Amino acid sequence: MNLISLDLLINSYLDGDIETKEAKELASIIRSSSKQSQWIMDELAMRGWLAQALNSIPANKFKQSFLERLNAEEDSSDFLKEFERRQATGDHHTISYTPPNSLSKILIFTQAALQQFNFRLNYIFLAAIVLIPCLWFSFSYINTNKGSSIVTESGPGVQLIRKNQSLSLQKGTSLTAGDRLITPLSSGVFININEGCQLSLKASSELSFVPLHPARFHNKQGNLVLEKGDLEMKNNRSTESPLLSTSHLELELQYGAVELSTTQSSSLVKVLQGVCHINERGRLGQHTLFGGQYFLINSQGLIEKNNTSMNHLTHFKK
Amino acid sequence: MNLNQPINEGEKILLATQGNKEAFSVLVEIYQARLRAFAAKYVDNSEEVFDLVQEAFLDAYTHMGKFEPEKEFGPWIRTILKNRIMNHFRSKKIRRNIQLSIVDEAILEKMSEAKDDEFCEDKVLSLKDCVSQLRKQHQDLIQWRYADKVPVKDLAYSLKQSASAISMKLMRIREILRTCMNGKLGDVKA
Repeated sequence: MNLISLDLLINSYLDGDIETKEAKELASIIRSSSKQSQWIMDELAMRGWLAQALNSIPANKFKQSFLERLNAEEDSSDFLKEFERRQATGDHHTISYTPPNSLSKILIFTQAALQQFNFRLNYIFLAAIVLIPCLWFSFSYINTNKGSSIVTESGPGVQLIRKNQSLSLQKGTSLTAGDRLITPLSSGVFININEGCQLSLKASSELSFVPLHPARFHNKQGNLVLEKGDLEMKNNRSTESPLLSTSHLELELQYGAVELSTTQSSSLVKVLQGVCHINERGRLGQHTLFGGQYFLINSQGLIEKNNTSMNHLTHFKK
Repeated sequence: MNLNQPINEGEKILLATQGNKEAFSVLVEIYQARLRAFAAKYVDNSEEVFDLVQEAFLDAYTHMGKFEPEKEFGPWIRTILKNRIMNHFRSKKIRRNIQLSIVDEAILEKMSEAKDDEFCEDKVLSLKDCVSQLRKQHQDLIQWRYADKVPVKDLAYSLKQSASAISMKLMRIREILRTCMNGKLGDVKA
């Protein structure tokens, strides 16, 4: 293969639209000890260095950001304090602790084992081994209706839509795949998603729990969809948070606390503390936000990303 | 901190091993550009690079007590970062489609075999200089493609050219930049 064709393959890979046959061909050349292999590695490095040369970050800004992150890491209890402070009711409710059930433990183990396993060429075989028991677990979870997401506080008038029926929501209610929460104009709801991860759905909002729940197992597939309104989520760094989605973005909070607001036209993410990864929905854009940064996007893509003050949400016109 | 002022790095390392956050932050300031250049060799997304380097520093800070001050700090933190990058490739396999994972895995293998005994910061600095010497039109193209990550197909559509023509043009510009970069690095070494 000539270098021009190789270059096209590299571009397809970096743009995320490479075909399976091309990917195998490119991987095979990379693995070989040919000059072309070295050329590809040099080309990939060149692209990375160019990105760095064009996106220079001042040393002091990097240091400042690092120190903020280090401080957040050192005192993760700050997240909880921040979360509690921002609970709209003003009540000092304790966010209850729900120990992971045995299913969660098995799923954590499955995921950890999956991550460490070297796939190589036997993807199908491994996928069968891993997915069949996991799907079984997930469906048994749905059938038995034992959710790890528990309502810890609910304001008056909050509706739970389950199997096309409207139910009243109470403290201790388990939420499962397919559920939808609708909050009225003046009250919200607090949910324990899993150990260390809490969510507050604000007034005038709608949140759907899409299959397959629980988050630990299928959290990369999108399991909590904010249809409209606002929510806050806090995730202790030791736990994996669910993937939050709106019609404009997908968000994964690595740790810390985040505010998410969405309307038909746009979505706003504000990272209060910690680190948050965002994918633009239907586009290739990926972003990592740190505490104090916000991200505003509409269906055409990124509008604005910057540092913010705590009052930035007031600029978000509904 | 004024980087033009002489810094006693050994002293900062020693203090950092005793848990001094301020001393460690000076090391962060000194090494961050080198580490970002190193990570960029394997990761072309600047934000991922930023995140990975910060995580490497967090790991280093956590294990600073075990670092032997008489050893060199640079190779130690570079190894931490390399492990971080390799873990990054492994963990992103779950969220990437199978085609991308096939290539990711090959890069990961190549990376694990590589000696990687340099930081490459000088290459980034030279490239920055070389890009500024390009024609405006070429600078724009490079900016869109490598900083803004605009896909080649989108560039082709916007500029009303074929994807292969854009790809060729970018390849030529990179070649110019490579020659310029090597020239500058040669000058420095000479």
